[in-house]
Amino acid sequence: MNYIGKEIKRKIDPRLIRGDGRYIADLNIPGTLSAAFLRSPHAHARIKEINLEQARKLSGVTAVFGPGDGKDFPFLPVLFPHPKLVPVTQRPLDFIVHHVGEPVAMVIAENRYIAEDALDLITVEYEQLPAVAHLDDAIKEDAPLAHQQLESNIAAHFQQSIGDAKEAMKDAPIVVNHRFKIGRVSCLPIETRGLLAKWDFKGPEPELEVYAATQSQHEMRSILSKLLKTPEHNIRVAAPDVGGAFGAKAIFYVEDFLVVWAAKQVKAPVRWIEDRMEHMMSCIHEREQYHEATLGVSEDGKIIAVIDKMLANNGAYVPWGIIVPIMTSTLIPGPYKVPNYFCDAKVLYTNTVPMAPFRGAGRPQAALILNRLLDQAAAKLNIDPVEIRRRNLIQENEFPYRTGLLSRDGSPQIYDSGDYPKVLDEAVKLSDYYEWRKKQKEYRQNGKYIGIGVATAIENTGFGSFEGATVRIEETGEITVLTSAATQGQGHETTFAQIAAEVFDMPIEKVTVREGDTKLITYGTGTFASRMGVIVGTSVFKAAEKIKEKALQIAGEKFNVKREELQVKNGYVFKTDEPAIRISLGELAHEAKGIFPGTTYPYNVQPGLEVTEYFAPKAASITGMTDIAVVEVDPDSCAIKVLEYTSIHDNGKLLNPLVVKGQVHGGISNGIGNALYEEIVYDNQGQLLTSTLMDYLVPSSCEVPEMKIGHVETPSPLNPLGAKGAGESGTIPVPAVIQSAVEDALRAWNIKVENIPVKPAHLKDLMRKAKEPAEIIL
Amino acid sequence: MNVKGEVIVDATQEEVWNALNDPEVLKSATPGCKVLTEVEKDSYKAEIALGIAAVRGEYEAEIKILDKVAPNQYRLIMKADSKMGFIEGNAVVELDFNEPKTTIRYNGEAQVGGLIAGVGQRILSGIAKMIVKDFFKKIAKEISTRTAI
Repeated sequence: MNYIGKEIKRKIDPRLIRGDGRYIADLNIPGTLSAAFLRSPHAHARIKEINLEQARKLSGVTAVFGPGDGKDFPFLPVLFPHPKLVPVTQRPLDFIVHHVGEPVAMVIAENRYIAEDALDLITVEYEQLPAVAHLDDAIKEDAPLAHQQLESNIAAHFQQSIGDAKEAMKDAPIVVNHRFKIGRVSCLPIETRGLLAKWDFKGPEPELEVYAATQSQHEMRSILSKLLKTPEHNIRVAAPDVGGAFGAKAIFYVEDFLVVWAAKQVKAPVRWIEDRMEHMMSCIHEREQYHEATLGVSEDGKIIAVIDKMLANNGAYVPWGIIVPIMTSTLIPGPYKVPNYFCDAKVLYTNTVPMAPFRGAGRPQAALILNRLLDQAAAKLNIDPVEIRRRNLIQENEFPYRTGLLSRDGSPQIYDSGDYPKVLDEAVKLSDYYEWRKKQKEYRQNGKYIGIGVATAIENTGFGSFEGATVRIEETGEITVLTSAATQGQGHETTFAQIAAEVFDMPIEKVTVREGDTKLITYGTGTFASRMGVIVGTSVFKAAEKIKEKALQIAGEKFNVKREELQVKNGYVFKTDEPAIRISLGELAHEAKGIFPGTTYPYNVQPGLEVTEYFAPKAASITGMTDIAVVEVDPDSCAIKVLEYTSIHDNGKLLNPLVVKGQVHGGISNGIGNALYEEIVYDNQGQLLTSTLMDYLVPSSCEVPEMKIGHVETPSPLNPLGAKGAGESGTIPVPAVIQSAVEDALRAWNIKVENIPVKPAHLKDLMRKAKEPAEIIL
Repeated sequence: MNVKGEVIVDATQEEVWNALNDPEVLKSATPGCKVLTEVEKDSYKAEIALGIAAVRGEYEAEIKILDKVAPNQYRLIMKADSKMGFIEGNAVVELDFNEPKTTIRYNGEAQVGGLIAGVGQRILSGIAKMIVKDFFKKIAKEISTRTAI
């Protein structure tokens, strides 16, 4: 391999680092108007009266729309229906609002300043309805209903099961419990949401162009087509540079519909850029779940049964099915052999921002459950936490491994490949785990409390249904790759170029990758679920292979030699034993068009050196990871400091180790935020208490520790590249490993750390309730 | 959030009760109150300018006095709306005379919503307690001024 697997710097960075990126706010289309939204201050209310007249009169205002204009608006589509789900989707500009921040009216004006001034002139009379925000309230029998038309707040109630966990638990000699209270977080990309819609009414049919900060231009086109009753071929959705997404931009929001609809009404391009407060109160959240879990193990620490009871907050609407709790419930066994498992999950509607997948998507929660239960069991049995994990991991020779559960698409859950013991061993080695265990005792003698946490987890990546790529040889000899992906910083322009460069054995500078635009390729789904490297990567590989074969065949016919006698390298097709007989790829691209117009086409292949290939994987490829963290907790202030962080990932065959390392680094930083700092807080009436970055604490580079990152490469048998996803795995073990390390540091107090994020104030509370430090036992 | 407290006034229970039912006293005691008009008996509309955390706003408020048991207690309901959000309060005010002073006791719930809830929550309950305390202190001051005359 000359290109795949090489540490090549990202092609996109010089442009972005110089500030030459072009985001939605940078687009300069003359005559573009600005949109701004009036948002509900109530969590649940009916709009009794709304007066838009004063706003309409303000100079510079083009139009103001309210619930009266939206009477015929459709509900947003149900994207991931599920037999157990009672779906409620959002309707733009409805008369009833179901969370603080839901749009109530929209102003279109010359600029954002005027639009926001006009918002101040709108008066609304609300009739407040009973609201519910917290999980423990929503589950009560007499709880206020998040949606008045429903009988209860239960959006879905489902179970997962392997064997007979309840029966097996009765016979388990050692049984341990742990509760988990996992907080809610925001996706928080640096670039907030944004959209620019432009209609052209002068052509034979109305044509719509939408520039969007989106992860899924093809999905957005498909939804717009349905909602606006406009054929897909009259809609183009393009994502220019997108400044991060993490799940926030995979969703289709009511604002997306409203901006496009308004642009049609006012017959001018309309742009909306979300501000940070709007992001906190209207862009999807994730993570919030409560668990009560029980683990039964044998005397030698082997898992006998796991039982989990889950409550998951859904928020007010269902923008992306119940994928997150399903993911959690199917991945609690994770990398461990669990012969008996039962999970009962209730997903609850509340008057809060909807939940949908955020980087990690239900898996960081899953990784917490069994890892933390194993900590409890290890303590009870007096076994080292690493050792109890080692005894329960699925072994390398047991793949493909059937867990006995169903995957999120209803097919049997099968892990394709992996080597979890090796990943764990590498992490133990790289982190100097046993050395730290020794140091822990010394530190403690000096009055310092350090703790070591370990967690092993998996991620199912590269889900279907499909993605595609077109590969074309240009007459300049350069290769153009067009894909159905959208990039928000993943480095696709480099990794996909490496794949094409590998096939043609030519420098990546000669390969140009374009994506994020529905005009490039007919079909696609979007960037989510750590899928792009696997699925788009394979599409690029297959299309490049095909077009290479075609180039070889044309060259063979031209030189009258057998295909086997030819090879491709550095932009030429040449005869292996007579390299002087050669033709450049550029000339071949010209040949493939025929000699000149009006002549008979000379080759026995179809004209043109361009091929489109779609790849639909048979199943998800499973990545594995083990993280080990060393933390120090100050018992007086409860300040937590991460002293060392080690992470070993098996992301399959790496396309570009530098890019994957960056993804892991970013994922862990995300995870550190989840584990220690970030939390979206609502009061019990559904008032959002964290709507700015003063109130919502995000780690800066000072809080993110140095990391030791390593890789194990177990190729996936499910695609020709052996690739597995890498975009999310960094986030997954972090909450588990930090919670574990903090509890370990405070072992003398014998407290159970159940919250995520782990906050000093909460620890102080637990320590106050606990007795005096017990005798130091290690 | 719960807001409760007490203020001791150097006056008789009658004097305090009258002050607590006097629009002029209510107006001068309400922080930032620019206008207070009696809509009907025991029902007022007010315009209040108030800064909470980083958010300064003009509020339109409705104040109602209910469940009167003269001269011992009443319930005060307040609802204030602004572009910055809303504040709602519901409190029972009780008087207790203990020669020669009267104790005003208040105990209620306040709910804050919209922008002010979102940007100021860390200091909100402190501010709410301060504003309410300030209100009753000013009433006490008004009464002492009056009785002094």
